[in-house]
Amino acid sequence: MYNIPANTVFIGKKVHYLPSCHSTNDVAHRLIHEGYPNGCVVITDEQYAGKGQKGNSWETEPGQNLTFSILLYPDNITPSDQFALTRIVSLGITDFLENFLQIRAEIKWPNDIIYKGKKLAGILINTSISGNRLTDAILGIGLNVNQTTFALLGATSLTLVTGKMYNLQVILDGLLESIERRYSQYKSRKQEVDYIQRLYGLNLELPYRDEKLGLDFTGIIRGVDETGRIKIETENEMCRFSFKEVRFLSLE
Amino acid sequence: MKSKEIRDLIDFISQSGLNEVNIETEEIKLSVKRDPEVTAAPVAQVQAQPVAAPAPAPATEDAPAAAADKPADSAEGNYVTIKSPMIGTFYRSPNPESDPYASVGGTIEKGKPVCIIEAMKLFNEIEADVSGTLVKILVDDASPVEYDQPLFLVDPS
Repeated sequence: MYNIPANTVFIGKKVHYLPSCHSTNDVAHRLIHEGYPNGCVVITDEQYAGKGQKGNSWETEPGQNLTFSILLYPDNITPSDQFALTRIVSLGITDFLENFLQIRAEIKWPNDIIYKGKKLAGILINTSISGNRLTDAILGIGLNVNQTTFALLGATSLTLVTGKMYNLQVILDGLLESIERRYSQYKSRKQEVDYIQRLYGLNLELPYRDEKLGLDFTGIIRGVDETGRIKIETENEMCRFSFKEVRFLSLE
Repeated sequence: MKSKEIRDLIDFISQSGLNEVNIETEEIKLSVKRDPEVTAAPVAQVQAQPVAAPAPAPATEDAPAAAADKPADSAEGNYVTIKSPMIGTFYRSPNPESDPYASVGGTIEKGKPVCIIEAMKLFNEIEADVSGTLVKILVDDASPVEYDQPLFLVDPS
C-alpha cells in the first residue's frame, strides 16, 4: 500500500504505512525519536482516535478516505510565525482540489476545508518548540474521499461532491505535491493573500457568536492578523478573535 | 536584591547631587526621582517583573523577581522560570485523557516537554530549557497566556 510518489522532492519519499493505528500524528511523533527523515509520511487505513482538535473526533470509514501525517523539521519557521504551517496545509489541500479535481473549496478559519458549507478535510498540526526554535512539525490531514454516508451532518467527501470514485494513491500523490509546493514558497507574501482569499465568509455579512461575551453579532471577515487571529468587521470596529473565541453561526 | 540594599542605594542617591536615577538589572527595575520643590524622601519603585515584557500581570503573585521585597532568606531568587514562547492557551497535558507532563515536586528535564500551548488550533509541545524540580505552576490549566509570560517556577539546584 502507498508507494512512493514520483513528483515530490522530499515529502513522501519515505512512507510509513499502518493498516490501523491510534492516530497518525501520534505515530509520527514517535518516529521523530527514531530518526525518521524530513518529509516522511505516516498513513493508515483506519485511525481509532480520529484525532480532531481536543475532544472532537474525525469520523472515517476504514479504507475509504485518506488519513495521514507529514513529518517536517522546519529549520526556518520560528514559533512566532508558525501560522505559516496552517496556511501551507490549507492552501496545499485547496490548490490540489482546485487544480486536479476542479473543486473550489473554501477554508473555514483557521483550518477546516469545506465545500458548500460541509467539511471535506480536517487538519491537525502538532509542533515541538525548544527555546525559540520550532524543532519539528507534524501536519495531520484527514480528507474524505470515497465515503458516501456520514453519521454527522455537515460532512462531505470527494465522491459526494463529484459523483466519482477515486484511487487513494493518486489523490495522496497530488496532495503531497501541492503541499510541498506551498511549503517551498511559504515566505512569499502571496501566500498570506491567497489564504485570505480562500476564507469562507470573506467580505460577506454573516452571523457570528462572540464566545467570550456570549453575544451574537453580524460581521464581515476581512482577513487574519500576523498571529493568525481572524479579523471580523462589525458596525463599530474591527474585532480580532482567537480560535474558540468565535463561532460561525452560518455553518450550524 | 535585598530590601536593605535598596534602602542603602536610595540613601546614597539622596545624598548625591542627582535628581533622577534609573537602574535596570535582570532582577529589578529601580527608578528614583528627587522632587526639588518638596525636598521630601525620594520615591522608589520596584517592579515585580523584568522589563522585557509588558506582560499582563501574571496570574499568580509570586513571579521570581518579586523576591525584592521579601525577606532575604527567601530562596525564590534562585528559581528560574519557564516562559511561554507565544500567545495561546496553556494545557498541562497532551490531551484531556492523559496525565499532566509535570507536577509540583516532580522533576523537569531539559529538552523534555512540560506543556502544550495551543495557538489558533496549532498544538505546540513546549520543551523545558532547564532541568530541576518543579516548584510552582503559575498558570491554570486551559487558560490564556501571553508571549513571555512565566508558566513554571523551577528549582534548578
